[in-house]
Amino acid sequence: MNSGEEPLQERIRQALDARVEGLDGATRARLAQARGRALTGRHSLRDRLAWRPGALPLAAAATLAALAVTVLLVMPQSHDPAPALYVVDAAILDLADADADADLDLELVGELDFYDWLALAEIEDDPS
Amino acid sequence: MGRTDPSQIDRFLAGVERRALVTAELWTRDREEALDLVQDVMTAFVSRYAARPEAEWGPLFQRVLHNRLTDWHRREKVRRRWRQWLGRPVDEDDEADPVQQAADPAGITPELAVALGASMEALLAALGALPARQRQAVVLRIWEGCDVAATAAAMGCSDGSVKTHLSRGLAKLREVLEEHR
Repeated sequence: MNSGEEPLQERIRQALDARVEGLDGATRARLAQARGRALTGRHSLRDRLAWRPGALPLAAAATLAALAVTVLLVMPQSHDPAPALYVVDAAILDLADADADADLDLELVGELDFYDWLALAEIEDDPS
Repeated sequence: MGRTDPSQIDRFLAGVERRALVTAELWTRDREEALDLVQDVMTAFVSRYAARPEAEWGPLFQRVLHNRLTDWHRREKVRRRWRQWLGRPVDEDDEADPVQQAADPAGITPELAVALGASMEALLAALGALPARQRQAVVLRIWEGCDVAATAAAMGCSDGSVKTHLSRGLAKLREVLEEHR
């Protein structure tokens, strides 16, 4: 990078530093809580399901988790997790269709974080 | 955590958590989601790397964070396909990340915007609108001060790719800064 970039780079640093300094007290407190949970290992599967209102029943979640892992084990190894995610997506829709009375929170279904985490746990890059 | 002093790792995480949140918000544009993401990163970091030498924590934390951001970005692409399947239009042609082109970035309060000035606000918005890989290179190289090798390790790409992504990202940001002179 040449010296002509310096003003731009400094502006970038200043802007991001200012955003850090601008974080409010409530957000800082929540970060501290998150840090505490990380250190005590209390950010567990049960914790993530339990606090979501209308969360998927645990048995159904466990079924989906087993399906996600099974999909990973039988599908060809790939650096692109998208195919496995499509299968899990389809499974979630099937689950909703199969049991119309299931307490399926579509907002939760739309947030694939947890199921993707399970599906990707086996193929996530290990930096070490 | 083996023989690691919990207070040491607590101090380390306390020193990086705010920057991690600001970084995550550049991707998610949503504070709640960014907080969840940072929680996941800290949990994964503690469980995997707390026993490693303290000198390695910084680069390892960045790797975990940026792996997680890459995962988030991939899932967003899947979600966009799902939304498209559901009949909601999604613009796939734009090179920049369409998720990032919505309203103002999360965390820009009116007070902060005044304090930053229009150019800074525009710069942050533009940073959030960069393609994800360019954004990663800018954040890691320019803000976090990582060298090329550490940036490449965090991004999971080659040194050459880091330089390319950085060059393109800075070029776009330079245009924005010029517009707000």
